[in-house]
Amino acid sequence: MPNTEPYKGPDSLANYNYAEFTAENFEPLMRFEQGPPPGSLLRDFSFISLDSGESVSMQEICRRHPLSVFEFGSVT
Amino acid sequence: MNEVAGRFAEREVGSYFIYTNEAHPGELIPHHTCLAQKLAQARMMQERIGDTRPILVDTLEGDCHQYFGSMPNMTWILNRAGRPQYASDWTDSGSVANALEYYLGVAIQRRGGANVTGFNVRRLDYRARNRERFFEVLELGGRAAVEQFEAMFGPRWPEGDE
Repeated sequence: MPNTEPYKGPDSLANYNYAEFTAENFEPLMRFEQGPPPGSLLRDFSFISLDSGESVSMQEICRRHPLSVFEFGSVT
Repeated sequence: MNEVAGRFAEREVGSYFIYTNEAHPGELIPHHTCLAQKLAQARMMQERIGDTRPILVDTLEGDCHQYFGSMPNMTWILNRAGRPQYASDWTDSGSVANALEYYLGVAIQRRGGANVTGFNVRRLDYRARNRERFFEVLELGGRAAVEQFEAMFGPRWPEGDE
């Protein structure tokens, strides 16, 4: 079942980077309903650009275009 | 999603891939224990899957991913002010393209002087399932990744609910 508890901040490193795909490890991370609401003002985040190796800000990226699409995922 | 990114780039839409935790770690592509490993596995994805969008690697703790709800393959569209316009708990290129067409249309209306304001919508979109492609990607992680998935959802997935 999806976790409906209010988001309190990043989960622990080991819980987030779980070693095995099991319901116990995976389901607590399924918190889509706790994401920011449409139109809300967000906190900023930094990423490492894979191409340049430099740190980039999400808000700075957004300012480059009227709309920016962000897909989240991994190789697995 | 590469095709959608290319098509809408001409209309000033930016498209990015945020690299998260491994949803289905296995013996070949394990869970992350350091940032260097996460960067290496992001590079592996770029080479093997051929993603042409800029790849942004989140922190090892997944600060951004967790803030947005930590779903394994979600998509968010943000406007220039960095405010969310669209969020989907699973990525589907058709759904994203529909949303982009809609928001670009709103921008045209505004430029034409229309007085419009936002409101919230809840809706269910539909996507095609591709079992073969899903397991092809799952197998990249290793046999353990496949076995763990089948242990949770059964070997006949996706005949039942996902």
